[in-house]
Amino acid sequence: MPISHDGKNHAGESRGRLARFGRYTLSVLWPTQRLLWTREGIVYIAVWIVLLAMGIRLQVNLILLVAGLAAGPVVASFLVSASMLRKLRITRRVPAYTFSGDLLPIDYTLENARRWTAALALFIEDEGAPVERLVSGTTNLHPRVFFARVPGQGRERIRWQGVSPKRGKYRFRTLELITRSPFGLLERRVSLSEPDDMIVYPTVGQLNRRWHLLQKQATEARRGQRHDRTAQQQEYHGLRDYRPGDSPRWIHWRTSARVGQPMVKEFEQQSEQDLAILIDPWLPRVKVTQEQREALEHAIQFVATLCLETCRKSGRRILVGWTGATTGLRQGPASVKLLHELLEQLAVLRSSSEGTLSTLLDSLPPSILREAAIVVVSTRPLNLVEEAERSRRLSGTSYRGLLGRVILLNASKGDLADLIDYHATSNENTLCRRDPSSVSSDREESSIRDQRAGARASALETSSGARTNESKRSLP
Amino acid sequence: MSFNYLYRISFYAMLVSASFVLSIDVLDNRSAIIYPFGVAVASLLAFFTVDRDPSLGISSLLADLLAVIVTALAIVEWRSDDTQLVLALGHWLIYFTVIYMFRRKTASGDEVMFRLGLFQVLVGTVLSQSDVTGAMLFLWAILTLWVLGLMNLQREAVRAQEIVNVEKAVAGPKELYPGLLNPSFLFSTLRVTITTLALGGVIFLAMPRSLNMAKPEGKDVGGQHLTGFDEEIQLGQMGEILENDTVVMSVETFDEKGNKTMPPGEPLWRGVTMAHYEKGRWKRQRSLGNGTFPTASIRPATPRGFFRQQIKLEANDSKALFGIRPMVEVSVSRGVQPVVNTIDGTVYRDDPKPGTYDYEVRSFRDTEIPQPGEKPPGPDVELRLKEMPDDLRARLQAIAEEVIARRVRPEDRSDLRKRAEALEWYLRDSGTFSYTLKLDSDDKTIDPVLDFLLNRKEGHCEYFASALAMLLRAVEIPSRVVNGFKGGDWNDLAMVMNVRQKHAHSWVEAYLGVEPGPERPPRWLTLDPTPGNERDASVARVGGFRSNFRQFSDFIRFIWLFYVVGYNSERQNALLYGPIRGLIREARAGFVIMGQWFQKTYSRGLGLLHFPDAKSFFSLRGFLVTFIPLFMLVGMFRFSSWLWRKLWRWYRGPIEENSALSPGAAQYRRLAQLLGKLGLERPQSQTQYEFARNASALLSERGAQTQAVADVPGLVVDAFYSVRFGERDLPPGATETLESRLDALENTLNEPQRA
Repeated sequence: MPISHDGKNHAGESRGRLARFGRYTLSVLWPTQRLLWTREGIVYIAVWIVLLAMGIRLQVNLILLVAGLAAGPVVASFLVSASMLRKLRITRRVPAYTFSGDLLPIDYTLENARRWTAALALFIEDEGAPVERLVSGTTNLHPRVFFARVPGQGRERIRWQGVSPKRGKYRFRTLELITRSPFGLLERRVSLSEPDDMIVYPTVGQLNRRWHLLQKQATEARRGQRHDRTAQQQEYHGLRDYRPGDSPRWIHWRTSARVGQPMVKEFEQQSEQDLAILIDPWLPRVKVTQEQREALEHAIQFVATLCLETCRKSGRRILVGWTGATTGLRQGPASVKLLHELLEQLAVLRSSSEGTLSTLLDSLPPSILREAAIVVVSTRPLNLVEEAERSRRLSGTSYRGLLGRVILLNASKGDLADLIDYHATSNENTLCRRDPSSVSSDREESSIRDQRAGARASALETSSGARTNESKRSLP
Repeated sequence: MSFNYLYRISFYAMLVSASFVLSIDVLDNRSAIIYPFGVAVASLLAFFTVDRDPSLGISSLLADLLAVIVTALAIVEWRSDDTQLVLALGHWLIYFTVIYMFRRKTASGDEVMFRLGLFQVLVGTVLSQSDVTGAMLFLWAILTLWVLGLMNLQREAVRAQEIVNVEKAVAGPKELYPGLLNPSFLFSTLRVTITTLALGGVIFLAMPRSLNMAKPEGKDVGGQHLTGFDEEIQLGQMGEILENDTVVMSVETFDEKGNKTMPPGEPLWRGVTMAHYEKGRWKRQRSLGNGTFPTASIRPATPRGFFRQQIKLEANDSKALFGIRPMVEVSVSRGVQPVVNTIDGTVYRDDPKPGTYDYEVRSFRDTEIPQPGEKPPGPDVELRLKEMPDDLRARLQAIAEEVIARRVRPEDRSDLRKRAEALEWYLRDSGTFSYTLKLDSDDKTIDPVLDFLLNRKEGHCEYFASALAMLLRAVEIPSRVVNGFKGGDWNDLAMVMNVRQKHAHSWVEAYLGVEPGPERPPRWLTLDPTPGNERDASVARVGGFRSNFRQFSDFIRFIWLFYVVGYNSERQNALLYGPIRGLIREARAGFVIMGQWFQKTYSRGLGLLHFPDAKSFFSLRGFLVTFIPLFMLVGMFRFSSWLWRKLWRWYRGPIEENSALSPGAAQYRRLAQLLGKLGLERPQSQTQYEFARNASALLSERGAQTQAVADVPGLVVDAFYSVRFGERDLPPGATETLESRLDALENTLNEPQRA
């Protein structure tokens, strides 16, 4: 590799420039418009050919006149259809994230900058494809909307709604504006390339009573072994509107009486034990069964749910770690930002046939190892004792203390099935996310709470606005 | 109007016009015109029944049964008259169209009806090529384009409901395209229609043609009867057609170089001659000496050259052809060539056929030259050309001699020309006689010519010509009456002369003996005794109001006749391919010069751009020398457009982009901006409701003026929440209400500043 005298890798830079130049060249030369015959157009052409043949054969001028006039619409379609797409602007608003299985709304706005002429009967076809197919059965999204009429100097917004696909990162590449005007004989498609990304988080459910029981048992088991922080303060830091799901105990009655509607207190709690969630997304290298794949998805969904419910309340530290060829960790105080990071990580989490829990344990911070509650979710049977013994960081006494704080769940054995409810929450996930309808690029709108979603939305809403994807494409 | 109704009405109008194209000019079957009206009635019925309530549509079984019945009906129609197969086929198509009208409407059914209409038009064009059919065809074409556009909108809306998850289609109004029918839509449709028709016209003109295009089908010759061109005519009979405005023929005149010109002077389109007069009736010469025009080698030389007349003769029942004498040649491009009667120089065609008759006449510019191909009259013919009733001779001779004595000097009285011209002067210029088409009194006891000369002293060209012919015969000059046309309506736009029946005219030819020389051609003197000005005034009066639009209507007629119905390879070459070939030739010559210069200037140094042959061009070098400049051109274009955009943005300055905001959000933004003027800004910890509540409280506290607009923040935030979180669209008019309230708030906030 050529290295310049200043030691910088100029070869890499020039390659990048070359690639950019190549892409630009390709984009300049690549045709962005296509013309396709419609079924009606093909039949029309067939009839026209008969007319023409008859006219030429019989040499009757009026038949040739009819044939000539009939050819007019075909040629005019070539020319006029292009003008039908001029001075139009398309705006696509894709939510920055969504939860798998939820309703996915995508807004398309068509603006007609023409002075008088209305835009008539226009279709928009879009395509969102997974950047990487992490989950089997992942399919592309094909939103399609129809604008009947947008008057000159007018705009219209239409919402497409579909079901969010499986978890992962999706990229919307091309947006096609389609018209069959003026006669429906030819279809003109203009491709507008503007990548937009959307993260589809794993499906989340609702942790049920069994989980809380399990957690309680684990907590009781570790009492006396950890520093008791139950007496820590609850910091009162403000008032806000009441939302469905808020505890009546949080209502600030005096303010509520003054403003004439329920107002609740917001607390910053620092009362719970730190939580470490370790996921072992193991799948065999070969001969992976469908059950194993489903188990992995269940494990990821469980972890996502656990993260979400934990982050609903601030003040608690949370760590999520995963095994694999290289182990990974994310940690921090429970917050919206962290929650997004965790869910995004889970959305793109890959299965692995390598990596062990012991390696992951070795990479955990000492404070977590010392006193945090640990939930291990795996897709294979694990022997905690063996894993602890294999660890270089855990001594004999410390791993015994650790074992008392660990909840070990094996997804392949169905351990998770009883701990989480999906049926009631699959569409109620909207409660846990920012409603896509509140998508906005406006900074002021970013903190608007989702009234419909209620209280559970608050955790995700704060940073939602900045995460909205919006792309606009104009036609010359 | 609802889109569905508009579409359906337009569709039916198109079908009715298609049936009109089929039926409007069927000469063989006068009852055919009933069919379009039948289709119109059926359309009305279908519109008020099936289209309102689709359940009233006829079932497939019934439709099949009706199809069988109408097929049988068409077969019966055809069997009753074997020559009417095409018309029966057209009627069969109409029956099917009507059946489809009463079926439940579907997109595919509409397509079938559309095609049935198209085929009706096709049959109509086979049956007739008249200008009436052409007008209907044009109307149908316009309606068809309109319907095609609406059909596309209809189909797209249906397709959208089938394949697209459209929120509005489910919940919105049933009207597919609300507000569609407005001036801008009509204007853009008109624009598209004109473009499409123009393109269609160009394609029509460019289609391959033969020299001889086919004529319409039909057994009836049709066309008009030309009074005055029969074997025998009653004196005064021509007055009938002198008040008729129908076109007889259209004539284009070309000089020797092929350029269009006006015919010289007021041309006399010579038709037939009348030789025998008896009791007010003229009869044609019985002995016909059919011959051909002499070949070029034996034609007399003329220093003034020729001119050419391309004549499109409308359908008529006469065999006579018209042209300006002396005619060198009369020819047709296809079929039997016309013949010339060597006795009287009349030109005839083969038996008349349906449709127009196209022929070409070449004439000498010098009118003094004898008619080629015409023989001098023999003694018997000469005698016949001097014949006249005995009772007339003495009285007419007295008149003629008196005139000659008055006008011709004694030493010139043996000069036949001068004697004849004196008699012509007497009738035309002496002021004794006047021109009229009104012939009220008619004394049957006296010969009409004598009556004209002695008593009435007014009449039309036929009387003047007859009188002159008789006067000439009275002084022993052989003469004959010629019936034809004089002049015509010249159209400046089309450069064509339309000769109408009202231009019919009679004049006289006097025989002056034979020319000296071996050929001894006959010398005929053309004499026109009719007072020109009075005749012209009379001709101009015919036509009434329509004559005001003559230039335009004649131009349309010319286009139709010469560039639609009569458009052939010759005209195509002259109009289209000839100029294109010429242009290509010139361009090629120019490119060769450019190429030579380019090679001389650059290829010596580079050697890159020199390609010895076409094969060497298809190589890597060829690719590079074409691709790189083109690529650079594209790059330069992109760069200049980018630069232009930059400069324009810089010049225009930043603009606030509000267009992407949805209704509700846009109003909320405006509210926030307005409240910002009061120093109110929403902290992050506040919701919009809280912010609105605070703002309302502040506005209420500021005084009575702002109290009136204290509700605005609440209204706007309600709308904002409704759109953002309720996933609802604002009700109609809500945006306007919010904007007006915000205007009020803005005005109120600006009040103190103004004060």
